[in-house]
Amino acid sequence: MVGGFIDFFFYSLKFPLFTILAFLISSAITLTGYLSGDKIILIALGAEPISKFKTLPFKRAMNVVKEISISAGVPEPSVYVINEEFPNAMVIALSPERANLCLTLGLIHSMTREELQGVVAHEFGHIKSRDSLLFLLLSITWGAFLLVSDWFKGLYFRKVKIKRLAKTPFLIAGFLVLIFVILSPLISRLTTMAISRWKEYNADAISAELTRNPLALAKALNKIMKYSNRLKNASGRYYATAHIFIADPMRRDLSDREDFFSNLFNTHPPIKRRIEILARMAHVSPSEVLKKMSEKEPAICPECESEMREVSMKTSIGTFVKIDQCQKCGGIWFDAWELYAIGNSTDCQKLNRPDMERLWKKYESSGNFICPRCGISLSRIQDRNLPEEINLRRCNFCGGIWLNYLDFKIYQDWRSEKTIRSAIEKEIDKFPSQILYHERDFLDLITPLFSFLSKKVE
Amino acid sequence: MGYLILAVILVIILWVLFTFNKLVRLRAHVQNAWRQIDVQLKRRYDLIPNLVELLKGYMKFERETLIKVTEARARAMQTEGIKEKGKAESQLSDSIMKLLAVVENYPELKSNKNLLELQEELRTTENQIAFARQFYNDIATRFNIYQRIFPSFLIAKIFGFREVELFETEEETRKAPSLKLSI
Repeated sequence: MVGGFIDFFFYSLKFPLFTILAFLISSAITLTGYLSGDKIILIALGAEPISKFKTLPFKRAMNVVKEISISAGVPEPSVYVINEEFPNAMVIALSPERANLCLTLGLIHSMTREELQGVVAHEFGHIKSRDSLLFLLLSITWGAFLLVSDWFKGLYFRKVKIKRLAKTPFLIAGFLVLIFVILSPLISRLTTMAISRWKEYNADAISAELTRNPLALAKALNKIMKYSNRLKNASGRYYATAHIFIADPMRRDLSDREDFFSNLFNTHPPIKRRIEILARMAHVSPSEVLKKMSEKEPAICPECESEMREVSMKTSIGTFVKIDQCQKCGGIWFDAWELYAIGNSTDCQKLNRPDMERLWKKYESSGNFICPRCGISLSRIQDRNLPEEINLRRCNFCGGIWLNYLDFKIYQDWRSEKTIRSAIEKEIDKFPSQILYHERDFLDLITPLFSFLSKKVE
Repeated sequence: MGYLILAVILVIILWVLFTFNKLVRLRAHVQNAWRQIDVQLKRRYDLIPNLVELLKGYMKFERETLIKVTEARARAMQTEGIKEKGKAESQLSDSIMKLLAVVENYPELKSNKNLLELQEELRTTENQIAFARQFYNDIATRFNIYQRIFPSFLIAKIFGFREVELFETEEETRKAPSLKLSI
């Protein structure tokens, strides 16, 4: 473009020297992008090599990558982790031998082994069909094409004199050139998007071929769709790299809008379509898959990584909530507001009492608390309204709270103490008013006091 | 006319070269894929004693399952030949899967960190074997098909390429879906 402008100013030159120079420079830039661009993108995304992480989920992810690389007959790529809650994956691979695979923290923690296989196999689909190279070539070709069209435009307006311009054939030709010049950026965008969507379907198909289990990827996509509803805040730093992820990281119409225009401008096909196609590969009706997948899976205890049990409890306002308790350490997970609603409800007896002696011992814990709902790590918080000795761990995303069994006991004690105190305060409040405004007998005065004192303290 | 004949001969020579090279390349891929399976199988042989050792203390009542696994391992290590080996290995896979299913009944074991790691290792090895086998079969099938179709089968016959055997699994394991491997 710049070259075209310079040419325009020095239009005595018949040869579009600067245009071609500019094209060469831009090609050189793209080529350096080809040679070291992967590292630049990795740095821009804040990716860290997976070998830095030692816990089981990361080991599992590494194993899964190895498995799929065997299945694809492709050398193992270098695996990186992106610190991002949204489950997503991407690949930068100009050749299968020099591939970089990025997985987000959310993906590693929230997917089952089978689903992870599906997602990783999808990425291997991109590696095998050399999609990154395709996009690079595409951008170079389009760049060249635009430059040439620019030059033609300049040529046309320079050579054709105004008198001749009025004649119809030139008018039509000029009109066409004008339309093309206006539309070319749009056309280039549209083709890139269309090819990108086509490549996604293609990679889905290869994933099914590598794992022989199309439902794995379907389940993973369904999970990603669910998370996308939860994590609506898109982050702008993914704008330029959107097309290389498995699901659109900007979360533009990720789920179900399928009208023509939303289709045209997305880098990714709608997830529901993708699930449908995958389900059909497995000879299962799509609606059945979607229904089956919406069932809840047992949550995993943040502290000791064993399964949790659901307990339904009556709250202080009379409604029921379902909380999850770990079968092993007895710790309890409260979604968003549940902790404050439960207080010291009598239903607490329903909870398992874990072996107290074992609780005092330090049981093995990864030290890294992971939210059972979102798969991101919990942070320690202090609530000014609660006693200090309680260790609260909250998921900053969904607002759920994790309490150790002992901490929950402390909380309950504190709650019951608080209710008694507030009850006393209420009764005491009554007294002076009664004394002041009603002339009562001494007996009348003393009975409520007695009745209050004889009340059973829960 | 002479030029035409020369051109035809040249084309034929090029075609022979191309086909021969492709066959050689495919055979190398097949051999490599077979070696991949071997590597994974060896890894599994090494893992099983660790697992058995770890479980011995816990599972007094499941002695039989443990013994079965050890026996299947010994048998698989001894057998030779693609078909026999395939059978023995799938029996071993079966017994390992059964063992892992039994482990699920012991909540104490389920939370043992060493066991969890070992289980993960075993699971990934199982998967890697399955995928290596799948890859081997895919590429071997391609090799075999290329030897059978016209005209490349002429070259294969002349240079003595032979079809390779596929790695087959037993009926039992074929029924069990791979979904079982997931956590």
